[in-house]
Amino acid sequence: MTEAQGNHDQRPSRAAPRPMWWARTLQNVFSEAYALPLVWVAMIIFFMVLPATSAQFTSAQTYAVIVGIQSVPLILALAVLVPMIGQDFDLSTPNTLLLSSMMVALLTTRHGVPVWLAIVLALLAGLVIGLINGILCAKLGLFSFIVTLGTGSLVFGITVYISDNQIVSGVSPTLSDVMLQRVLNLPVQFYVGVVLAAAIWWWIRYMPSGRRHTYAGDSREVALLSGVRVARVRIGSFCVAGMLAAAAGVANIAQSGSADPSGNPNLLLAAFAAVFLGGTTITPGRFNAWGTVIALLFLGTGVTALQIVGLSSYIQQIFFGGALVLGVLFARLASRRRELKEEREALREGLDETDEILEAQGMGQKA
Amino acid sequence: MLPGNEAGVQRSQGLALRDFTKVFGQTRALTAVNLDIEYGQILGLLGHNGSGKSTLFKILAGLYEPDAGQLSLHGEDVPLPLTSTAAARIGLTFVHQNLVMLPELSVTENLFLESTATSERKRPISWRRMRAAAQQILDQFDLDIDINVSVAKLGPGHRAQLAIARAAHQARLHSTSGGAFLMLDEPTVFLSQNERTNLFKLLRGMASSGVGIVLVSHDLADIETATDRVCVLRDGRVAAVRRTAETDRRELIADILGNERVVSPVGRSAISARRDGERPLVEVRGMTGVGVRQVDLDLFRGEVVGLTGLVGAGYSRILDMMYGSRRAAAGEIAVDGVSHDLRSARPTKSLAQSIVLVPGDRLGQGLIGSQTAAENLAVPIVERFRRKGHVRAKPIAENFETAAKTFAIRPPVATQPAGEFSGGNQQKILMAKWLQTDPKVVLVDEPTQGVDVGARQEILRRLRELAETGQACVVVASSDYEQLAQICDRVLVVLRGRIAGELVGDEITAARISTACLRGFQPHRSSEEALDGAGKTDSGHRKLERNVG
Repeated sequence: MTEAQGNHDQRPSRAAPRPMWWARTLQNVFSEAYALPLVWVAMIIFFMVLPATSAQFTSAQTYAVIVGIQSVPLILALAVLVPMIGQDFDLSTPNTLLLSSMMVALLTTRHGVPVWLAIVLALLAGLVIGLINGILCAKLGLFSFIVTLGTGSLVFGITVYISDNQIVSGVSPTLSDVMLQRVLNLPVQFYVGVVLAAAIWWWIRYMPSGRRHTYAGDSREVALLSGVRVARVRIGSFCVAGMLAAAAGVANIAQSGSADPSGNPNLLLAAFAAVFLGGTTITPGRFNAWGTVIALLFLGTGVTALQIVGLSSYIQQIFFGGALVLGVLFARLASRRRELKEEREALREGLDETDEILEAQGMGQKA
Repeated sequence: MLPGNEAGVQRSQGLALRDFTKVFGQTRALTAVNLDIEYGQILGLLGHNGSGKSTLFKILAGLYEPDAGQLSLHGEDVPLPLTSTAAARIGLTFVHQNLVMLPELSVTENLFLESTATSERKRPISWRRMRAAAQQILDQFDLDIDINVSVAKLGPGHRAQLAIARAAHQARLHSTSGGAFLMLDEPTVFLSQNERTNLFKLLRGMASSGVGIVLVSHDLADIETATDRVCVLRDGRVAAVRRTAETDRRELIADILGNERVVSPVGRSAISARRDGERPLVEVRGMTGVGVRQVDLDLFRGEVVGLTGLVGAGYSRILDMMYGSRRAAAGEIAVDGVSHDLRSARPTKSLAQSIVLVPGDRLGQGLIGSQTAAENLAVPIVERFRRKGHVRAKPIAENFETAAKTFAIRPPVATQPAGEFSGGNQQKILMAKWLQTDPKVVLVDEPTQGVDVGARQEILRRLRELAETGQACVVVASSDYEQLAQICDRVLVVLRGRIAGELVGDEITAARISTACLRGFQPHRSSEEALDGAGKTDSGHRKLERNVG
């Protein structure tokens, strides 16, 4: 610690050691980062006590159902998450999900393709769609929101076309058997979602390519100047999104046994709501995998509870829509608060210094 | 003996630049520049805008190819243009004003930003190892920064130190010659005195371990404190290379300016008599905001006041805050005696008080490039063109034609998009746009930037006229000292957000303004003497010493 430093070079000194992992956990639990999980727990307790819902909410089966319902949306939400970390919107993911379901259904029922091959082809289709999205956005510089809206519609059109706008059913029970098998009363495909979330979390945190993705999302300019090949990173993230969406489609067909070309308009909303609301928790201000999982389960719990109480199914849209708006609102408020704090600090610093200089030069304070 | 080289040193052990020349069309940006960047020494690079400093920098950064010149390291030739791999091999790194940091991320991660960004490894990152390596770098340079904290929480001084430590570390890592060169572009612009001291300590430490450092700065105090040698560029040539210990500010200023150029002023009114007893048209008190501190101004009718300083001094911001396009944190402005809080100043309110701002960013803030000249002109006075409920095109075009004659706008084509006019004519359209509102106060930001010589004189004349015949109050913020010397009755020098001094009437010459900006403010010998001279000037300001320049 040198003498020369005045109180303006205040900032944290070398002396502060990093607290132990359990201390950090405790610190976190009582911070903004864990607000959402706590609210979720509080909500569950509330429904356990509320007479209208207490019967169901004290039964393990209910939770299995809630989690089961959210399995497919979870994988889709992860598909949306990956490009979102890089500040790219992929609105084509629900449509890719649909196409993937339809492909598996058609290939297995009408063309005698073995299930595993059909799945591979569906994933490949997801990859190609992602590639197209990536090239349009990263190489041609088009705005991802609009572009993926467009490609999504295209994909939807293809889905309707190949299915002749008919529901395709009779998908091999093998797939369902595997995916819907219960482990600890929860379906395998939920675990698939959790494993994928873990993989994404690990990739973003520990792999150089994941870090590069974060850099490109934080600031394209700084990333470029540091040597990140931003275009490549973005194309990669769209490809991953496409494949994840296709995987969600496989899970979807496993769950329902048939592919319906009319799709589910709630999927897009649920996925984005989960990602944005998830960005307010665990690592507030940053989109993240675990936050997405928690947010989705939180929303799912809420919706199911309200349905049990008797509210009709468009409660879903109200709930998810509200969550999306609140999630974005809180994110904006948090960043605005940070901005204001930085501005105030810059103000204070920039000004105090002028006094010092002029005092040093003998001018002294102005009255 | 090579010109510009130190006496007695024939061959450089470090980086040697010989005969660097770069021509852009008619402009000779660099002519036969020789420079030696030695290991273990800190070299200051001085020169005004247009001296060739940034061109030199860009050549070394590999952005330009010189028209002539050789670069060598240890006497071995290095091919130009410099590729990034070649630069890395020499160990040449740059630290620009854009520090290339991701503030949301930790100090550790930022230190290794480039490493991670370009890493080919497929293996996961060990954060523990990265943290240890980060701590090692900080220890090596004796920096007291917490590696776990996010960069957003660091002050500008620490951020600069971090960027420099990172650059030096990277340079050493990639250099095949074993040495490193650090080129720093104005690193101290927003730093406090303490932060500067710490920065220079860091640089001195690096130099003692053999790093060759080039420090580009406008601040003569910085140059005096931190450098071993100074190279002054003027008009694309090396004006002088001196040992810092053997020179002083006066000599350096003389090197920077060359011969004082005599400029005949366009016209300047005698101001001393007018001031007594006259009430200022505009009074600003205690204006404070980001980069502006406790600024007081008294502006009178019929005068042209200049605001200037070095880059980053904040003089443009003062205009913005007066107008309300930038937020002030405190202060008051009174126009014709009616007082308003600066915090709630807004362009709409200022316009209502007859204050206009002609912005420096013509196409970004002043004119709509895709709209026609006539439309642009009509924007502030659209109401005048409304007949029976809708806006008519013909009066708008006629309005433009009148303005084109008055302001000599060429070509006088009403339907030509504003973006297609030359810089000078755009400036004239912009000025016409605001002056047709008959303002009482005209704030102008860099009126002749990017404007050709002919249009320049027209614009300056117009500004002068505004004050003399129109009796408006004109405030010109400009980095062009000659211009200010041509048209201003008073020039206020801004130093890091404060008004540091004032030049009045015949005192105003480009040389004196430049000296005042570079040298900083010189206090009077005693406060009584200061008060003596303060009678004629605005409260709180002091006149600069008479013997400056």
